[in-house]
Parts: sequence; C-alpha cells; structure tokens
Amino acid sequence: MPLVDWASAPPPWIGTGSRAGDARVLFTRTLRRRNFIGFPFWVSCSPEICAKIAVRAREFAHSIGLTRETVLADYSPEHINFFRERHWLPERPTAFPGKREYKRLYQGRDLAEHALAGEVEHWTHVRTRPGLPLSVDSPAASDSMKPDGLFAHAEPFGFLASNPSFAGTGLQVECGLHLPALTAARRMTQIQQALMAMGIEIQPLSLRLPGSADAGFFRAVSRGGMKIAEAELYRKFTGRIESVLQAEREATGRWEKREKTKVEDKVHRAFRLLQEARTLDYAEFLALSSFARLGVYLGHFPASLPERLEDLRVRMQPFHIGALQTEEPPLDADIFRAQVVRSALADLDSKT
Amino acid sequence: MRVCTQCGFTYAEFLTRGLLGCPECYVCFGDALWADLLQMHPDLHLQPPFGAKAEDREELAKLQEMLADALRGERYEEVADLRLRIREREKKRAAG
Repeated sequence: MPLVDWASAPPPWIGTGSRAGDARVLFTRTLRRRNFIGFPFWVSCSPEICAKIAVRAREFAHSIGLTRETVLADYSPEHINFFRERHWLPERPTAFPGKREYKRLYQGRDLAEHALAGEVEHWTHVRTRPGLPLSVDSPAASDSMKPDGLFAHAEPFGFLASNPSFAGTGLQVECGLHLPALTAARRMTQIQQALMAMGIEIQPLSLRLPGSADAGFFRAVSRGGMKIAEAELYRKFTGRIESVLQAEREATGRWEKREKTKVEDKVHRAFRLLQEARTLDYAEFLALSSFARLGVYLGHFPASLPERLEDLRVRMQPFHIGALQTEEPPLDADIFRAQVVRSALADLDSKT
Repeated sequence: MRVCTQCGFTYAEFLTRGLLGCPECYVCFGDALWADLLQMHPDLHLQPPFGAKAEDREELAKLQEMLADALRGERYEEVADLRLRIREREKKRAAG
C-alpha cells in the first residue's frame, strides 16, 4: 500500500469502538511479549537460528490471521520512520547487528493490532485502543498466546523474556496521557518519581520529536508482572493512571480558579491559531493543540475536538507530512501542516 | 563468574545489555537474577529461592505494610523512600 494512503487514513485505533473514560488518555496499548520454545533469545541467536525463528513467527502469524508480512529490511529509512510515527514500530529501535533482515511486522484486517517478530523478543503482539478501557483487551489475542508448548514458559517465572522486566505475564501496558495542568504547575517530576516507584515509567510521548513533554503529552509505560494475573496487572495500572488523572483534574480546577481569564485567553487563542495559522512546526502544533484540548476539558470547545486533534497529532508528524505531499514541487512542510490543520478544524467553533 | 550453561551468556553481559541470552539463563543466574527481578517487578511478593533470616523477613514484612499504607494514602515521597529501603534489604538478602 502506498505511504500516501496510510498517511491519509486516521490512526486505526481512533475508529475502534467507543472511546473509554477521560479524554486526557489518548490511547492504551497492550504489548504481549513471547519467545518461541526451543530457541535462544534474539540477542544470542546466530543468523541461521534467526531465520528459523522467522519461519516459526510467520506460521504463528498466519494461524492467528495476521497475514500481511512486512520485511523491515526491504523498506527505506523514510518508510521505517513512518512506521514509527504510526506506532507500528517502537520509538527506540534495538540494534542486533546482522539480524535486521529477520525483523518482521505482521498485520491483519484490524490495523489497530499488529505484531513484531525479532524486536528484542521473538514475538511482540500489540493492540491499541482509544482512551483507557476498563478491562484488558479482548481475549482473542491472549487465548492464542497462553502457554501451550509454543512459548517459553516456566514456573516460578511465567513467560520467559530476554528482557526480564517483561517476564511473568509478558504483558506490558502503556498509554498516552495529556497532563497540561500538572506540567504547567511543574509537578511532573514528582509524579514521575512516584510512578517509577510503582513500576510505571513516564516518558515524553515522542522521544524522536521535541515538544511533547513541554506541551504536556506523556506516555506511561508499565513493566511486566510476575505471580500476577493479566487482569490484575491491568487493573493496578489503570488504578494508578486514574490517580494521576484525578491529580490532573484537581490541578486544572485550581489553575482555572486562580487565573480564569488568562486560561480562557490561552485556550481560545490556541484554538484560533490552529484554525488560522499559515505556518506551523510540529512542536508549535503540539503546544497549541494542548491548550485547545484543555479548552475541551473546561467546556469551551466541542467534545469531538480531542479525536480530531489526536488524528492530527499522528498525521502531522514529519514523515506523515512527507508522505502526504504528492504535488511537485512540495510545499514547505510547516506551510503544508498549517494548511491540513486549518482544513481539519474549519467547521468547528467554540461554544462560548 | 556466572555463565549460562546453555547459551554461554554471562551475568556481566546481562548487566551490560539488560537482556538474557536464553530461557536457561533464568536458572543459571539464580539468586543474583532474583535480586534484579525483585527490583524490576514492584508487585512481586514472592519468596525468592534463597534463605532469609526470620528477623529479616519480619523487617521486610513491616516495611511492606508501611508501603501499602503509604500507597493507600497517596504519600508518594514516602512510597519512593520505602521502595528504596525494601530494595536495599532485598539486595542484602540476596548477597548474604
């Protein structure tokens, strides 16, 4: 499929069912990491063993309906960066010299679900959903990933992973968070330290592009869990995220109470700038969309705005912009970005 | 030096890369790896496969009770401090 078609479509998780809970949670991803039984982990495999694992991964992918195989080594750096922006590949690649040609991406009909073969673990199964669903995602994927002699599993450890922080359930949960009030109040370091002590790491939402953390966009990433069921691990994660969201709601309330007119000015100004800007770099887009989102939480803008901004957050990244520009000569990226954002938000108006 | 009998990976390599070489490494690296696992999995309340004196166990249990209380009260700085103290105790147990 040409990149322009991917880039024109909204991120697949946006359209998957009703979004759950607070709009401050952009998405929730579950990553299940497994290693096929009978092989060493990827880090210590010879290329010959990697080839065998790749065959095993393809068989497994086809058995669960992930029939579209992408051999990552066949793609240009532009494609690979595009895949990263699309959340199909991890933010930080792990280099295993001489093994790149065995790294594969598998997809099926549901584009919000994919799997990676050879990225640290033999098999990483990823599902992305909008918002913060109350329970761990559908059992369809997890049933096929239970211990049945296919994956390395041993008591008392659980699923055995090359990175032992993923051992046990093999489940890692992560979600995108928008926390503008805590960021403005300079409380994120305190929140980061507290969550780290509970096994949740808070990172900027994008590690490749500047501006996420300053705009209040973060990614909360759990470790795996041993001697704990998937559902319990997920419940603990969501409980801890909910306490962060509660702190954000309280901080928002205090901010609005203290500087009502200033906050209103910021959010309306940001919204209008997004609708009118003639040039927009990505960091500025993030900063403005952060205030526009804040305006939704405070009741100034329609509830449909966060979904459009989430779509733009993904599609306005540099390699998406590159893919979307089909005309020759291409426009300056910032001018083109402003044009797309203006057109996406043109029909929206503030409530007040 | 701890070496995996299956894949030849050493514990030092694990400390450098953060990755294990094969499933057998979990067994070969034994109690040293357990100490790391206890750090990586904050929810892990599992008796590790090495002994512990009764007084150490009591002290750990007391610290874990205090931690649970601090978590309930959302006293995050105290949580971080208690986690650190528990990890230090676990490391001592593993070493000794």
